[in-house]
Amino acid sequence: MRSSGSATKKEASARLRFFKNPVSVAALIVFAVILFCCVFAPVVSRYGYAEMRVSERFLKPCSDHIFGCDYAGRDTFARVLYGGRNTLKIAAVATVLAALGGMTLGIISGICGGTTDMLIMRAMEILSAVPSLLLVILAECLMGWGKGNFMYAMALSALPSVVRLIRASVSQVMSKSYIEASRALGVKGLRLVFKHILPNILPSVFVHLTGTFAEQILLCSIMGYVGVGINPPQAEWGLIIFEGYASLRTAPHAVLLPAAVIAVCVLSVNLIGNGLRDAVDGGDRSDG
Amino acid sequence: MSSENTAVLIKGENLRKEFQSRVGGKRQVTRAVDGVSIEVYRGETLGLVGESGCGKSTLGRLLLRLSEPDSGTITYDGTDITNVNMHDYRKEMQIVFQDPAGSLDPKMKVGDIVAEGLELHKIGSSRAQRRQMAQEQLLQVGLGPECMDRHPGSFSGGQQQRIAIARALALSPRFLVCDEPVSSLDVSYQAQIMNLLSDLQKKLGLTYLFISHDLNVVRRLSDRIAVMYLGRVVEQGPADQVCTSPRHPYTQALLAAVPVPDPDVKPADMELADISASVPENGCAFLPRCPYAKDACASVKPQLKEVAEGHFCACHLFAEQ
Repeated sequence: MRSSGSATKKEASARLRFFKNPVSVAALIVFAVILFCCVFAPVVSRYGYAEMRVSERFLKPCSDHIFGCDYAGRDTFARVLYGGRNTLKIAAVATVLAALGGMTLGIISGICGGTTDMLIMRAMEILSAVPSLLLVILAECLMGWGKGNFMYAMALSALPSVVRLIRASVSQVMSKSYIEASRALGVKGLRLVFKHILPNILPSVFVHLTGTFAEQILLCSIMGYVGVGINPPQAEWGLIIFEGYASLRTAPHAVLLPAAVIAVCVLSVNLIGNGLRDAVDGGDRSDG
Repeated sequence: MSSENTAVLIKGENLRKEFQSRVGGKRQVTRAVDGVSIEVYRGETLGLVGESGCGKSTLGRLLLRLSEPDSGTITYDGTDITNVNMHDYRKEMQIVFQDPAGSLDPKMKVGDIVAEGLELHKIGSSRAQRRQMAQEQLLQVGLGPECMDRHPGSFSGGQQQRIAIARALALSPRFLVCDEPVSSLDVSYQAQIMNLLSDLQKKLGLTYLFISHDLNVVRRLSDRIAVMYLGRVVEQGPADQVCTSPRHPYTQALLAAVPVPDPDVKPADMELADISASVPENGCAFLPRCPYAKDACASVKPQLKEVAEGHFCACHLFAEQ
């Protein structure tokens, strides 16, 4: 009978459960360190991302350059940090844009149903049928080359999955009798959305968005690697890999170390997402 | 019956509601409510019974216009409310649901849940005053002020149902639809909630439409009982009469199915065939399960006829009387 548990207790214990999970905490710390170093790159690194020293081309990792140097004699560690600034920022902005667009469309779709729902969902299916790479190239051809358009295109590619998730959560909440009880009181429109629907879907949406963020980091790197993302000489994680790839045999550190940072970063974000999911769902499963 | 019209609080006439669904690509139409006319008198409790899926909850929702009827009219206190903006009528009529945990928003505090209607209808001048009023409502259903800042999940089913009742009563409605309010509760809580509902009715002069599949429960609270089968009212009359001398075979079967709390009493022998899909289009919907079926049942839909004073039954067995 008490299986549902107190909502306050549930939220508090969700937080508690997250921090009690050593994997989630470790992932959170790792991601925080990466984020901190990237944000404060000028402080953390002694070198600029475009500072070249011809004498230090392909330098192996040493105490001065812990990640070594690339083909142009630039400090790889500095490039990874400045690259992270770009990659993480683009991924974060794209995720937020996808979240805002997804909330709007998903809520409209879930509440209105019928033809509106059908049109929105078909549009999302068409959108998800276009490969992300094609979408980015198309966007940049149509709207011009630039960081802004690149971010919009990335957000667009993440949109369908966010809309689908939010629509599903909304229709699940809409079938609950507390929504009908509120309607019987006279609640409607935006009040229904902001007071009753949003608070009840946010936890699961947030978990999903963490995964979306990890995907966007990878997607941004892939675009950089392929050459449709950030332009050189700026740094970007995928771009760094691309630049080091030519000399993979002679100077593998210029590729492997940045790649390791990308992998660790994406892994930590995914683990944070898993921890959040377990913490949010856990109340229904284990507490009994 | 026209002399009694002032006594009618809410009336549904010829209400119809169909739901469409697709099963394996085939369109299926379910007639949840199939031409039901029903009147609820001021201050009474009308019990609405029937098996699950017979449309009794849908009928309750239609009367409150939480669901729009396909056809038919709803009259509240002499006014046709079938097509009006319901906002002003919301505070006149409220509903209590079957599943108390599901009917309370888990993210809101109990005080805010009860005060939400007050805020919407601009009752009370300030937030503090509305909180005070919410607290009084909670007190009325037997919950103390310490509940105000807790979330609904931390209460037992019975307490949650009390909160739901407090929310419904906060707007001082005159008509309350109780949609299986005790079906999901333990027996001890059932009795508490039913006593609470009947105390509140006496104190506040409420009118109830009490929906349940459990004749025992309905019998205890109701002045009149209406029995629904597959979207139609098949029998309607004073609670005692319907329970002691049921006319419609379906009502008889329902009553026979009520368990008697005595191990020595043998269950009454009246078993119905399983519900089958082949319900005659023009005949009596109960035909496939009826032990007394005759020829007329397959071709003519029985209408409600008065079989005793105030006691109506829709069955061809009483055609000649």
